[in-house]
Amino acid sequence: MPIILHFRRNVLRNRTRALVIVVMVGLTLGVFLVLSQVGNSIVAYTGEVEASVPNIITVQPANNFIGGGYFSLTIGAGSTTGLDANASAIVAATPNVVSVQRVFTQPLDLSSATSGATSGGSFTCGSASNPGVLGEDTTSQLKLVLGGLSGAGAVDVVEGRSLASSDENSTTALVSQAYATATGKGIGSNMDVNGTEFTVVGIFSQSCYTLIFPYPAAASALGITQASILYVVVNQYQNLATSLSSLQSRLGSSFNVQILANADRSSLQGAISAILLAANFGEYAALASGAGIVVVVFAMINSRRTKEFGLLKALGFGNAHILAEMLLESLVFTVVGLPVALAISYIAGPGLAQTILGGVGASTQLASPGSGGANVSARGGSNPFLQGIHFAPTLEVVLFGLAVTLILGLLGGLYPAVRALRLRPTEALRHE
Amino acid sequence: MSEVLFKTEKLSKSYVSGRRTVNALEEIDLVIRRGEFVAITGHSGSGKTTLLNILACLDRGSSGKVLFDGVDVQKLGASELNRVRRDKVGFVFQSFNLLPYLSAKENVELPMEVGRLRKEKRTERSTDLLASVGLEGRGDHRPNQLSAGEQQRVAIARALANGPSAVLADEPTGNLDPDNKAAVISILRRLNIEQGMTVIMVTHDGDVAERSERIVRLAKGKIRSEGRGKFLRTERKET
Ligand SMILES: Nc1ncnc2c1ncn2[C@@H]1O[C@H](COP(=O)(O)OP(=O)(O)OP(=O)(O)O)[C@@H](O)[C@H]1O
Ligand SMILES: [Mg+2]
Repeated sequence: MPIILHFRRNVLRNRTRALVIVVMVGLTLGVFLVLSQVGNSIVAYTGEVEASVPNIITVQPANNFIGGGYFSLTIGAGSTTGLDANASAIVAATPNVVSVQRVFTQPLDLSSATSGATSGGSFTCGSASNPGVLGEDTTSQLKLVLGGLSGAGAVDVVEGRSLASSDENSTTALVSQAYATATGKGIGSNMDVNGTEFTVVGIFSQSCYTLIFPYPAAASALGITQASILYVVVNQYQNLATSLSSLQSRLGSSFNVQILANADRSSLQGAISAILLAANFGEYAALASGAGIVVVVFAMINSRRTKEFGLLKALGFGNAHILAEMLLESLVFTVVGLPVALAISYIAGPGLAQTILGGVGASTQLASPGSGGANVSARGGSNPFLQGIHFAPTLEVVLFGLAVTLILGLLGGLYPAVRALRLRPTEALRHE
Repeated sequence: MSEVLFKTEKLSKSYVSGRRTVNALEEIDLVIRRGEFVAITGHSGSGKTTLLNILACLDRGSSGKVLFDGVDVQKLGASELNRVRRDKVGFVFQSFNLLPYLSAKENVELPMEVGRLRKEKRTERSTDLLASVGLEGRGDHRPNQLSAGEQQRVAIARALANGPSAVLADEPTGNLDPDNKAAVISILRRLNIEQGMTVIMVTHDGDVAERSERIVRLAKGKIRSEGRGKFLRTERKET
């Protein structure tokens, strides 16, 4: 009670001093709030980017299964052990595996493609009468693969739409531009494959004669039981290596398991680590220097009160009283400084953020990460880092600021208080 | 003879600063009885302030005994000394040491705040105390609205706030002109006469010392001589 009384009189009657402290505290906290919002935005966007880039492992038969690739299919060569339903189930049940995309590649009419071609003959790019068929799962988070095996790009639909996961059990189809032009097929056209009617919903850019069907319908129409390749999406980048070895040991040596070589991926990972480190560092630096400034301000202002504390001690006020008064005072100042900080952050935040992040620009938007055709959902706009950032004093920001404020206030009050307490009243009274 | 209030036995105090040691007090044996009005004089640096601070429990001696009201205060811990200062000591500083942001009344009430006195009691008491030092009606003024003499009178009122056993004053008139000097001394004298308050006053001013009952002269940390002031017990009875 006397603490509050004494404190109130001291604070209310030293208006200039109170004002200076509140402004200093507010300024420090305001800058800290801005920097932490900037840091949050960097962390959030980087996380978004990271989450949107799939971590892909490919599984293929160890020996050439039918061929080494759709566009240079080597007929009759290699093993006939493909990725059957059993293998797919093993892959899907492996820990950390999020989704599996089965892909098979085969000429529409295998017998006519191989007729007259003995072992070693090749099938390249297909023809209008015998195009290549890609059966692909549409339920995976991955984009449809264009060419077939690893190294192929993503399908680029130029007319109509792509296949979505809802197409998985339907008989919709995509056709290449070359095939559409040569056969006069368009959106809505039907085509018959061994008695199954497929409907064209989209046309994609490619000069080879290619059809893309949802895997189940394509497999049953063509009598396929084994996939040529599985694109396996693993939940986290960090789990790629362990997933690789556990897939390999589960599947055995008749399959090749590989991390999809992806230069974007590893450089992205490096960049993400660097960005996160920098963002965190900035925040800690702001907090440390903010705390430093607040402590110094309090120390400066309170050292002028050393004599007063000496007097209070001489009058019989205990250390606990003086300590409590100091802490209460610094707490109140910092809490009162909070609205100032919020105002500063709200007013100066956008400008400061622009200064800090403005140079990052559009270059941070990812190109499609190459092979596998991952579905990157980068934020639009010229500077993705500036988009999610907000400086309005939301409840979250206020609570966060309050927590930081209380910590700074305690730190700021503790040092001068402890210093004052160590002096004897006579020493303190000699202070001017 | 009345009861002993302060008694020092071989009280010494040395200050060590760096390699130099200053022996501010050397084996002081001094007895001050309840109700006495004592002046401590001596040249600058003779140890007056040092002695007074130790008697007021603001500082500790380096060796020897200091009995205050029968308690060896040299053996007390910091918080116990705090309590002694709060309850038994009224200290008056040469430079007043009023808190500038408090009114005269609040300055006087400040020591009562640690004493947990109720607010109405505090107000009543501070009003009485200010009146007793001739400052009725000035309670709401801040120190910077009071003259030096008035400030020192507020400080005396503050020293009396918790009903101390003794008032100890270090050069209470050092910063005052002759008129105010006289006023402050007569307040202290009246206190001594009317309430039997023990007063110990440090001064290097011979005239001021003469107005006490007993003069203790220090030189180089030792008691050089003791004498009687003009303020005699006989005079005390007459007044
Ligand atoms: N904190 C200190 N550190 C070192 N030496 C000190 C300290 N305080 C006092 N002294 C020394 O102790 C001696 C006595 O000092 P003290 O203040 O008691 O003298 P004094 O009689 O009150 O003098 P004055 O009349 O000038 O006030 C002096 O030599 C002084 O320099
Ligand atoms: Mg002195």
